[in-house]
Amino acid sequence: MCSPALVRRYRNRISGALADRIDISLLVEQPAADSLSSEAGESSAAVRARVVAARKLALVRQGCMNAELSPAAIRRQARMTTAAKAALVAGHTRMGLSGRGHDRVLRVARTLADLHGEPGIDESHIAGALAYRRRGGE
Amino acid sequence: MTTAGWRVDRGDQGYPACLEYLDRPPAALFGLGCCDLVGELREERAVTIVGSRRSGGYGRGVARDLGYAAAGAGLVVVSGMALGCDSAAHEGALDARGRTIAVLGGGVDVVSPPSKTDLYRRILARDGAVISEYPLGTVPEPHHFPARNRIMAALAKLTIVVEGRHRSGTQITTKEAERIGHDLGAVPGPVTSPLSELPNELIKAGAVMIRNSQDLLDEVLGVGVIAADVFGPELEPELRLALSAVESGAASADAVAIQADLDGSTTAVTLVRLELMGYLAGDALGRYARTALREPG
Repeated sequence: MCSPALVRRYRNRISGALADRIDISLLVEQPAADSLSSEAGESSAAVRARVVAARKLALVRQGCMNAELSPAAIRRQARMTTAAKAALVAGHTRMGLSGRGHDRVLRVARTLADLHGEPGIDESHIAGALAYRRRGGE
Repeated sequence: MTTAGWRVDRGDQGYPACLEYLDRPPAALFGLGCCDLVGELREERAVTIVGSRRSGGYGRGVARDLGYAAAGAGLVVVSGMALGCDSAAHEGALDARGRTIAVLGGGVDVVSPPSKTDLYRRILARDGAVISEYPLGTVPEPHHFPARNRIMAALAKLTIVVEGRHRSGTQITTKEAERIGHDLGAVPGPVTSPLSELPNELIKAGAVMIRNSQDLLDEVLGVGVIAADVFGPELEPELRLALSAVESGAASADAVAIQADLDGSTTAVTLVRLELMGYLAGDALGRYARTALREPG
């Protein structure tokens, strides 16, 4: 695995404005040997069914995918709970979320809510979207 | 936001009196932002928080918490805007809607390090100040930083070291604070970490041990004058499990998932929720460390 310094140097080559537009980044660690031999995960067919259902929810609600919503439209469709709103504010103060990042987090959170078949965005969906944005602040 | 730069010469009104303690006080100070904040600074109402540029989740999380508590109690937080602990202390102060002063090793119009441009703007936008003894346009050079550190040590009665190694820039700040008779505080760290060398040694030599915000407030304002907000919100069972895993040493999401026996996506969400509540501090590589915030009850 690359050293932290190398990872940071590579990250620094991506400008803040560009990095801000990446919605999902994941830290993938080498799996432990015993986790490879345990039972298989969810089938791709099951995941596909969930994605299809989520896309349909979005289409029925707003006539387009969440990614295509304008800033005004995503705010309208967000339907955030009080806890979700507080979590989003905390995202700005505690995790350095930018203004541009705000709407992008909402779109991803809206999608997470759709994947769970829920009408409104809850705190866990905001946290999920923020988890996907976790990346090099420094 | 005041963008016009200002300058005060030694002997002028508006030149911080505490700089006169130094052997060779700066002949002039150059600044951006609020000049009254600097001119009217009283060292017993300020705290300097410094530490390593290499600090990870632990050092940065503690520096942030201390900056937050100090600024929340109306103290001015002084630091050097460097990577790691310094910028975390400034950020904590800003999050508490407090005021903070960054002392730079180059001209105040040369943002150093450049990656802290957002922080620099936030400091100025929140009525803080960025100051330097070097004229506008000066590019920071290695030998500027020891000189910069002496200014940080002079501006506050108490200097707190969060993390640092022997023979580091942080140590220069502590030596200067000692020399001019200012107080030193240090945050204890694991004895196996090189970044604990300096703070642990300072504690052994008699520096005030700063374990949390309350220790800081007690030291600056007097014991029990202000109670730090040390308790976070209630935790659901799932959050409790993940928090215990981090407390017992799991740093990455994968390690927490295994230890707490939660699935991967639940763990990722749970860790961010704990971070948003203030219980954890995450770093750039997705590793988590515990903050000083305690559970209610």
